[in-house]
Amino acid sequence: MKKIIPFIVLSAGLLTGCFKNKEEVKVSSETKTPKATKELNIYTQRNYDIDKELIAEFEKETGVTVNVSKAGADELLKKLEIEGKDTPADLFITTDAARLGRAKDLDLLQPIKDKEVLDLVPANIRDKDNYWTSFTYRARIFAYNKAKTDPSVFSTYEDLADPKWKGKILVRSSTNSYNQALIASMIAANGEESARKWIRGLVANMARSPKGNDRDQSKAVIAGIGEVAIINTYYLGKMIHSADPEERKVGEQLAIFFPNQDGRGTHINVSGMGITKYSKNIINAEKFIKFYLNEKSQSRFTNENYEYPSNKNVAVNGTVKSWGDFKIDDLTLSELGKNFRKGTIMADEEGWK
Amino acid sequence: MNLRSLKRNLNINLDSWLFISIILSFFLLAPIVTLFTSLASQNIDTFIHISKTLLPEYIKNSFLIALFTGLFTMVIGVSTAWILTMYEFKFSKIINVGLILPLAIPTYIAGYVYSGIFSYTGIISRTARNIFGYNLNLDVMNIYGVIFIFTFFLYPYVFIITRSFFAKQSLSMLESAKVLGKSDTQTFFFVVLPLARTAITGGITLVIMEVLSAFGLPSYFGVQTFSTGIFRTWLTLGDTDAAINLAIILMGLVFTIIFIEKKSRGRRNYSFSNTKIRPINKKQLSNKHSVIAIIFCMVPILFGFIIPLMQLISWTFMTYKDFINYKFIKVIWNTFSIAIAGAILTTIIAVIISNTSRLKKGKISKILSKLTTIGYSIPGAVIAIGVMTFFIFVDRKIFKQKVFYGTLFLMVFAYIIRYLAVAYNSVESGFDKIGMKFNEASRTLGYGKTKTFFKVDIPMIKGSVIGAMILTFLEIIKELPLTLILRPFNFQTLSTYSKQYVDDEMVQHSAIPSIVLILIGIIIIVFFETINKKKEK
Repeated sequence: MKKIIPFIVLSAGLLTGCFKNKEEVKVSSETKTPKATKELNIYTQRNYDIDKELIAEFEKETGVTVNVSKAGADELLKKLEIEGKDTPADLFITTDAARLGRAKDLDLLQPIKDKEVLDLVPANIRDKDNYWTSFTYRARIFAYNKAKTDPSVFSTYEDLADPKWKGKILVRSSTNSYNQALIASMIAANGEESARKWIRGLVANMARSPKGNDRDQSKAVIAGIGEVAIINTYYLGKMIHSADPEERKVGEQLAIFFPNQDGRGTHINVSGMGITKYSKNIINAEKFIKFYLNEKSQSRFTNENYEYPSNKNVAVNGTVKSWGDFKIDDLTLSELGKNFRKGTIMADEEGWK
Repeated sequence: MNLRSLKRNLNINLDSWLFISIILSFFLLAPIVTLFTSLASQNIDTFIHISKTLLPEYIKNSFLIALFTGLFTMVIGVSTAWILTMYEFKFSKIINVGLILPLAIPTYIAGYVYSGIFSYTGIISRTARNIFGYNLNLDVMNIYGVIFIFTFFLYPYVFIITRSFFAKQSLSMLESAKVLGKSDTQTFFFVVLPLARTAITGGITLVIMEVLSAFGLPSYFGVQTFSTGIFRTWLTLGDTDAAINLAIILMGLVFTIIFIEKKSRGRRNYSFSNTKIRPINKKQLSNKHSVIAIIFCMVPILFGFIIPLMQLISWTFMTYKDFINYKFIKVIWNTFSIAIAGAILTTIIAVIISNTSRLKKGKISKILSKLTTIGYSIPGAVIAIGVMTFFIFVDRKIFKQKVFYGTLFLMVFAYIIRYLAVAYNSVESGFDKIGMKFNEASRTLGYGKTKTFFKVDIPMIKGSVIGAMILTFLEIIKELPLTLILRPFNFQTLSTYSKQYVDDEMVQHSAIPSIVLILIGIIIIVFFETINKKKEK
């Protein structure tokens, strides 16, 4: 027995050390006077450097301690669901309106009350019942090689199902939330049957079996594997300003086309946040939303992360601006949550890997 | 039932080793069982959808990956282990360590690195384009790439286990074969391989279980397997029933594999009969043969270690400025401390259960020991959610307040479930080698089970116990999906740190946490090797 005692003591010591750390946090969270808390707990899918910096600034400005738990949106939703009223989370942040809609449908959120802050955000990029608001958005666009392709060949998302695009389309897996949201928007715009036909046509036209992320699709355009890549706008901004010179080269050869400009507009998706139903630090959560939407933070999102700011009073960054103004698909983003499960199953059935 | 057999039964039932093992197994299985209880609603629509559309693909891909990775890791692991056991040549000592190093690199990081190397902006295509003006389109992001990476980063499991078996082999059998006129090659195929069969299948079983539960690499490469399917069904489609159905199929597969492995071990009984084993006299290779041996052994080290490390280092130069701060040191400390705690506890439990199963010939202990190792084949995210659900239940019903939930205890607990198999396999092979002779001798001479355990068994299997701890440690620092879900607020490990950059499509930034992770792995491996050396002396 003697020999393992040191091990047990050591590991128990390490563990209690960890517990202690945690308890300090817990004690402060259990002071239940809703107004005076000094803490904010965030479940987030986003953790760009810009988010980390803004959170640090928020802490400095308000004296509130922010605790962050970062994981995939689906895992976090599952966590909120299982934790129920015991959840420590106050804010749920994700990069997909469909997930925000799902959080609302699962009764995991509560409405945001600060009308003044909500008014900064156009109604089409926040929830109609105020259960969540976006803080940035981006468009899902076509990227093509400036030197090779004349943009007059492009028109709409629907057009990409036409056989003339055979072997030319690059897009990542349908397991990706951006594509799931795009499919959901197609269902909302054209109905289920037509969306199914569109997926079928798109799959038949793919240049290769879907793989990699959005940057990989753009690189494949320049490599000549396909002619058009469906990607999010900010990835182009990030490639143009990449640490890797070879990526910058790729970024500079690409141009952007905004589809469906003559019709309903280009599909967008958001980074957004909502206050959890069982939040114990509602005041701080509201404060945080206000902070993320203020002009200073908003211009940093667009200047450092090449996103479109949700605050209508903030100008977009130069690189982003150079892509041109565009008409946004006015389908309320709140509707995406309803179609996204159906759309995902449909994509499986039609072989969009 | 007569009185004597009743007494014997009681004896078995009251045995403290068995008792402790049952309690431990109960707690380790509870979270998994908790998940199955949510099957009640029996909504099978999604499962039907999956069976029709995706299941054939999951089965095909998982099967092909397991089959070929198993095959290739066997070829590489066994051949290199044999060369290093039998021959002495220049650099053979360094190569001996080098061959284990790929184990320090998590397969998902290997995935980012190789897709980076082969991408359009990667080193190969860019050289071809910028220097030779030739447009080269390479692609590793497919099932072949997955098999390639699993092979070159997991073969060390087969290598380590087979090598330690070879080293312990009684020389007399080899000599007999030689005396009877067999060549080296013939001896290898007709004497050594059949003898080493159990060690080899043990290593391959570990590889296959790891491959079946791996999520990061196949999902990044867009290859649909059981593991990615479970994740998608459960979390994206939100269908627990269908996901659990998939998990049951996967576990069925794994049980079959374990069963076959057990069967193949069944008739063996080659434990050594004295404590001193004659070491094999290594044959000095001629210069020409040395070169061949070095080249042969360098291939896996090159693909599994040197190439990925060089790519990571070149990315490090692009991004190092962003990492020099005290927070990063905290991340390293977190990774290290949680892995040490997890490794020690996992190993202690593995020793207890393994010893019980060895001492008890009964069915119960055998079944328990197999059940508790099932976690290795269950995707980490599934275990994480099982553990969460279980402890929220315990907190609510028993303590009426938060006690366990949200603490690091959950993470360590989940690691134990996930990696008990790794520690167990190593400990069990230690017990296998010493057999029951010394234990029986000690018991005949009057020591009890527990005293024998501490005075006789443990000193003899010390090497295997340390080996178990080190392997578990390596697994834990590399673990990702479970850590992501269960970690408390603000708790970062090197693997979650590197993962978040990849998620944000900033692969270059993931290089530094990855490199530090790999360095810790290397230090641990070298430490492991030094201990092994000492043990042999």
